[in-house]
Amino acid sequence: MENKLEEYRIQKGLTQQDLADRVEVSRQTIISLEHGHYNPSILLAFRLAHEFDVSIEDLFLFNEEEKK
Amino acid sequence: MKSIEKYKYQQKMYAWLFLISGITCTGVGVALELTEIPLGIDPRLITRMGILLLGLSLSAWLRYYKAAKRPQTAQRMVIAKSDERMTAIKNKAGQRGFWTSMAIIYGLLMWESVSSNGSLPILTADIRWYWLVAAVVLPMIVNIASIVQGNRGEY
Repeated sequence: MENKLEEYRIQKGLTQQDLADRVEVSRQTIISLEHGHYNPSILLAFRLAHEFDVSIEDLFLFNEEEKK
Repeated sequence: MKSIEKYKYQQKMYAWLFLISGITCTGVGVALELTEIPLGIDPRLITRMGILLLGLSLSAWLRYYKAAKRPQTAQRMVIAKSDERMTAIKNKAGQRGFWTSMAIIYGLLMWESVSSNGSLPILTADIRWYWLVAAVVLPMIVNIASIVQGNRGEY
């Protein structure tokens, strides 16, 4: 799933490790998310959205035709 | 930092548990070796089990002190253990390992069943042993390979 995680993270001046520590996941998970290799759980999506003070829809771009 | 305290507490508990059981086991093993009472089993096995438990205790103590000394590193370790992506990878790897193990054991069971009526040659004890070794080792390899693949691939 495409997302604007990297964009928001850089805007906020956070490193991948900082963000990982804040949302309590590993740095590898943040890397995978930013590369669009991993789709987060609803809980993590909410945590990330909350961290950047945006809605989930702003952060993650849903595409109906995306390969499941 | 609550999870860190929990982690430290757990490691301390494991360390004490392994230490007490290790000392007991080693003590009993050594005592049996010295008294030479015929038990039907080699008492050195009990001593070695005790030494293994003492080793586990030492490793738990080291984890405890590492967590106490470097709380941030320990916090990351705790997070990494419960990380949702890693959990998903491990679940998938576990499932693959389970089905590999099932297939091997099912194969052995079928062979044993069919060979008992003479349709297949009867397995020797050696072959049966190697088959059982495969039932342990192959799922482990599948599990580890799946975790490595999951970490490198689309997860």
